[in-house]
Amino acid sequence: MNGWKELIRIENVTKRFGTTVAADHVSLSIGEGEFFALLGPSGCGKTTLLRMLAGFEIPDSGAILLDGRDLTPVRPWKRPVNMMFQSYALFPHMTVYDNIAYGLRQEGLPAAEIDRRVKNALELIGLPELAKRKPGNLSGGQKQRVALARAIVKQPRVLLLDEPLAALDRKLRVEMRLELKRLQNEVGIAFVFVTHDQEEALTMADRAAVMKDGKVLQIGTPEELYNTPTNLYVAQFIGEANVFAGQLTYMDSEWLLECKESTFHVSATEVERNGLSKGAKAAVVIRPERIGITALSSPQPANDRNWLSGQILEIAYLGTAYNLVVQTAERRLFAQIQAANFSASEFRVGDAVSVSWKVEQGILVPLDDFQDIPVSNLESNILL
Amino acid sequence: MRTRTWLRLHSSLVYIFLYAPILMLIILSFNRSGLPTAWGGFSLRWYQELLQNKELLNAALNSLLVASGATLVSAVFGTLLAMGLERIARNLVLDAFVFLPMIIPDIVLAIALLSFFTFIELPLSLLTITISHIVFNIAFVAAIVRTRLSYFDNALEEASLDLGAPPVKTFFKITLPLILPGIIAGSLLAFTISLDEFVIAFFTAGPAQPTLPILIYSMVRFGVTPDVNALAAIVLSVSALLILIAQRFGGTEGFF
Repeated sequence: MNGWKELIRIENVTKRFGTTVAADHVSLSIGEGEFFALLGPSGCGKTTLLRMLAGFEIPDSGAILLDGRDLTPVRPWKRPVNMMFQSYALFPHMTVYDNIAYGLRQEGLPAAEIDRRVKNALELIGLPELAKRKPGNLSGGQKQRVALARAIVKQPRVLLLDEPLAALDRKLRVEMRLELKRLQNEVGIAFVFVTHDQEEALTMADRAAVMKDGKVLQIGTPEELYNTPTNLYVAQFIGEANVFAGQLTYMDSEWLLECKESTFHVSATEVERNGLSKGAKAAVVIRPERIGITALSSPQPANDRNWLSGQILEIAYLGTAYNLVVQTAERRLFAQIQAANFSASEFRVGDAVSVSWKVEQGILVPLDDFQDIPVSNLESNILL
Repeated sequence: MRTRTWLRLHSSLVYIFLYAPILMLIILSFNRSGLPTAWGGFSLRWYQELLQNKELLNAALNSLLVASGATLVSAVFGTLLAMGLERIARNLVLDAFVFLPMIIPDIVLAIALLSFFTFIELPLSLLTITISHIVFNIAFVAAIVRTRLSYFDNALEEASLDLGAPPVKTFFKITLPLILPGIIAGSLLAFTISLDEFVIAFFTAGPAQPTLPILIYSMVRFGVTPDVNALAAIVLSVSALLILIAQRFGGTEGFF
């Protein structure tokens, strides 16, 4: 990241609600102008973290710094931070114009200045003709834009967005991802947004923090999270994953993972990246698009590939790609093959095939315990 | 189909049962003859007589004073109470105790208040009636404002704070305008109840300053006179009007 400059530093922040720990010694930094995602399932503490940035919750311990200044004693209405609420929270008794002007009026700016900035904001979101409408007469997408304008017009140092796209229907949601990204580029304000949707985080964020049970599990760019997860949870949460758990061994100068169904080669780079040693418990994660499928009758896959034999259970055509479910002796594997590389006439449901992947494309993650492996969420997603 | 016909007939009968006596009273208030048994033609005579009755106008003024005072105080404290209950307390026992004055038999409350005023040696007057009315009116206002508050999105207040308005300003700019329909509805209801409340007023009124219901009671002790019909018709219209307005404000969609 060129020219990255720290804007927010969250230092060892802990927050409890009764017996639940919403934030557990969280530390992270967000850069100026960065589009940062807090990603995790509901109840992981991401919203609490966002609310602590806004000032609605006060950390039990730790500090939140903005430009090196401790924000903890600063009340919400004095923070140079604005938030876009999940419900949008537009004031129903005010027009769109007054909603957007509300924050500027609190600053006591001259009327002409307020008018200019509100009009600019309406221009920015592309809805200048709606200035006199009340929020009750807006569509979901329009409300979302007005809420955004209301927060941006204050020119905060950071804009917080709580599940900004959750209330929109799917088509609009996908459009708004690009729109938000464009807006963020245009205004140059740092955006911190909370989402449970990994696809949303991957497409919009410069960097994301994956959270679970109040802890930050990994922070990184979308590519880093997808290609080099540091734990199984992140590997499974970001994208689809076929997971084999086993024990590492080193034999004839090669790293192997002894799993229940077979022993797989793993790349030395991956072992090293995770700082694993002989005898460690680990899992190898193979992304569906890294899996290759060949007929069992054809020559065996090359030496640099791991492979298993199985039977095709399902084939689904997605336009650009095919999704396949292959039943092996122990499990179902999920493969995604680009339509250009797959001839549908060659494979049928029920065919015996070999499933393989290149050794260096198997992602290795450490495991504390074999019990740790949740049943993959693959099956529910396969044919959507 | 048959069930429906029966239901319709049944509900008509209920409405007749409820409203026939009231309708009768209104008709009789326009009866020139003044006898409940014979129709002597349409006349506004009894209404005119009412307007010349000093004692009656005075009682009406007393009632208005009591109702206005009680309503004003109840509107403020009832709203605060509703907010406290909704936001802070969330306690079933507290809830029950707040709404108890709505359910306690009037006569019990009347005796309790009378004993209390005697105990603190507060002489009975319009003030004691007003205080007594505040006791149950707060409960009515609180109940209605609370309904309104339960539809209130707390994120609206947070948004206002976030945009730079401190808490007090947020209350007046955001919270108050949005729950105002509830406060108005509650106040109108309180005003109506206060205006024609008899039992409690009767016990807590001073000797020289009767409210309208007390005066009417003293007038009918020796039989219903036609001018009382006219008076009752006026009180009825005012109450009905206020309730209709209150209902309009009480709706969940409000007036936006």
